[in-house]
Amino acid sequence: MAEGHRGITRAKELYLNRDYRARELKEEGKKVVGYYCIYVPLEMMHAAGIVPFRIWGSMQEPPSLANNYFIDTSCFYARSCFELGLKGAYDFLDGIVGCFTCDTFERMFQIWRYHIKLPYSHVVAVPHAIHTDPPISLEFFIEELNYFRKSLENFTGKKISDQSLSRSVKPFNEHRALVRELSSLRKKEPPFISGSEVEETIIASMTLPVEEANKLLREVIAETRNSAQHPQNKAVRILIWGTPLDDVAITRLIEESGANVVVEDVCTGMRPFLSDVEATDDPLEGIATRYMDKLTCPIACREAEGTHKEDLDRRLGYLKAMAKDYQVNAAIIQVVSYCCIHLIDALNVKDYLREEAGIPSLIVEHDYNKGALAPLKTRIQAFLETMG
Amino acid sequence: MEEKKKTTSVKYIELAKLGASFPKRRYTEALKGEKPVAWGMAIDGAFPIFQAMDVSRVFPENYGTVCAAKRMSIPYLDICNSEGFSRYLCAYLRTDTGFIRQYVDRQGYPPDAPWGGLAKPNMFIGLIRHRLCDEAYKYLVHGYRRYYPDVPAFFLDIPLPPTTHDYKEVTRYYIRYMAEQYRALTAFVERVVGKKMNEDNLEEAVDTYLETTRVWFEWHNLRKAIPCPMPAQDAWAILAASYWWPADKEVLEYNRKVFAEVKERVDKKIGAAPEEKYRLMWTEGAPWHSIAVLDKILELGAIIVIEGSYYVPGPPPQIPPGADPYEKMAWRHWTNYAYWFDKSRDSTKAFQSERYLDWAREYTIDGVLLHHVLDCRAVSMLLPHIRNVIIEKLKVPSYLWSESMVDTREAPSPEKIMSEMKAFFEVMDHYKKIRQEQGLPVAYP
Repeated sequence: MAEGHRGITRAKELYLNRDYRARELKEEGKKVVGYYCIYVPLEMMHAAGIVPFRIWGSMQEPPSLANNYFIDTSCFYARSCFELGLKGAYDFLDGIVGCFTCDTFERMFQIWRYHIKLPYSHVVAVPHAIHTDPPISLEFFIEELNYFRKSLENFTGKKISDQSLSRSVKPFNEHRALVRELSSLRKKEPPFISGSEVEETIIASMTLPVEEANKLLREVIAETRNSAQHPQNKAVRILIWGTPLDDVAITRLIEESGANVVVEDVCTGMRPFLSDVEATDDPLEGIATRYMDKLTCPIACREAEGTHKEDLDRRLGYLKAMAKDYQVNAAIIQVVSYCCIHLIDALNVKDYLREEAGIPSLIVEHDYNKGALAPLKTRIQAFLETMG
Repeated sequence: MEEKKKTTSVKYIELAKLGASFPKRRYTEALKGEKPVAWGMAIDGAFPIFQAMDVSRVFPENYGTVCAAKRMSIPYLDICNSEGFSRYLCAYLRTDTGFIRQYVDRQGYPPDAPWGGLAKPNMFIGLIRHRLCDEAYKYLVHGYRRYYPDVPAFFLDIPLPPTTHDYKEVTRYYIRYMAEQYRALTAFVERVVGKKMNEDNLEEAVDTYLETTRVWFEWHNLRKAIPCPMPAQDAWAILAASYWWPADKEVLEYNRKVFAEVKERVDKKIGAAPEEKYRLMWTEGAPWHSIAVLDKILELGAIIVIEGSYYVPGPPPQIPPGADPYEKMAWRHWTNYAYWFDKSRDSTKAFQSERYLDWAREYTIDGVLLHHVLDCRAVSMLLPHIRNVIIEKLKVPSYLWSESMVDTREAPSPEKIMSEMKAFFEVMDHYKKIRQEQGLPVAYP
């Protein structure tokens, strides 16, 4: 990494060297703890004096070693993350935090703990069914977060006060606001910045302590606003929905096929940044409400006593608004093979976007493998051709 | 229609011959439309609520096994594929999707549907049980409501703590949450069917549920005997009623009779195998469409004495005095798993591997048949881990049996299985010597 680089250049460097800053911090004596899901309450780790570090997979290294421990007919992404762990890519971590979201990552976490010994590990159980009357889900989740708080305190030897929690909420809300601001630079036609550059910047920001991430985002936003160079105007403005895209290969493929990617609802894109933690008397209540109730991952269920259509409006209504806001006219629904949560909702998302927003979609399953994207390219090109 | 082959297995326990009759009767009764019908998934622990509310329950997951056992899945799977569902999704639920599509198109039950079909639902109960399977709620509700858009749904969230938790510290709020979920489910069912729960009926159903699972647990333990009185083929035949309707008094009586028959065989040292030589453990879902091959394996002296974590309840719960019916249900569910989760925290880190390790010791296992279900990740993901820890700690080898759980096009031939099993016998012989040298338990030195 070159010294003194700022803005987009630095974001690109961090995107390519994701452990760079974390390793520096580790050498400085900081505790760096990995996490792998948007449901992990980062504010709490921050309040404990821990630097959270998102765990990534690699589309360039198909799982092989991992298959000795985890069946090969399961999520490529999860296995890839574990593969990197087994190969020592995360040897700088002091611990790992996961949460009960999908059953694959829940099981992967267990294997991770068995084979990759770390001083600290914890899993947060997140309610997926959100029952509000009475608010049993929120009450349970607050208990669970209190248990997490105790666990962090035991690990760091430091008490986490309500005040420190409230303080930690602020930089993360700012992070979310800055990502939204950066992304919004794509609302115009042509966009001020390409989808792949936004994704690289978001990913880069997730490799940094939140305060540094916010600084980087401010630099990129300023640089983009001041730049005279923008992506070309293209007829098709794409929304990407689906599983994590921690490599911009698929986005680039879409861009090279003649479309602009203007927004992505994935957990390495906009999904973790769409909602904030509200200030509440008990800071855990605000944190619990945000992580349990406001994230738009398809793992979450809303009460469904009404019709299927009403349920879709509750769960997917934000997509209609997002599509309108970003002037989207086509969607690519991409799902890593074996992710049943996304595979099932892919059909609902496709129908919903068509019926509610008049937006056509293409569903593509892939193996999270950079070397196997050629068939995807053909399908995406054909889809874009149908858009005229 | 798929090629007709013998799909049923020999029954060694007399009462196993009655195994399918109870579920079949329940499905047929539901088709009459006289009672509200709830679609749900097993092991949600909510059985007494439906029993007490006189709601018929049918289980799409179970219906998938019926179609598989009758080798009638493929046409349904093909319809499901044309609906756009990924072939990587649960094959039981994909089978049902094909059935549902036909039902919706015809506005009636397809004439050739096994057991007459799945009765039209009045409600969906999606089960969110961390560590079970995401599709138990995701496919069941968000998938099936594409076809039944006006049928209301409830999501039952039954978490079990992660293995990073100290169970003693979290039991209080986990039990409370589970009991609250059962109360919320009751309120939902009351709204759908338009009547209130009779608390006396619920108490009675809970007591029946607790007793059925206790007796079930007891007769399973009898299979530790050498020789083993009952193979997996029988246990699978019996389980259907116990697994899906444990709050029904008829099922309790059935289990009591099974216990008596198995006990008699143990007392008289009657084994199921002609000459027991190898004691096997089966992991997870049964090979419904190829179950008959297990009889051939058994004829060679290899018997499955314990099978999959799906199918055996844990020990009876220690329920605190004064617990209400909802709390009792929560304790029952909790106790099915808590011991192994807690134990695995400082050991193999996974409930599944811990439980299989214990069973391998307690049932004096020579080999493990790892059922790699190609279209069910929930039960397959940890198989390599299970294989690794069992051979590492107990020197017991495994055989990977890969197949679709319903699709006979993705099933190994009986000839292939038999050929590989014979080779596996040699592997088991090898490890038996190693266990003997290391002083580890061996059933037949």
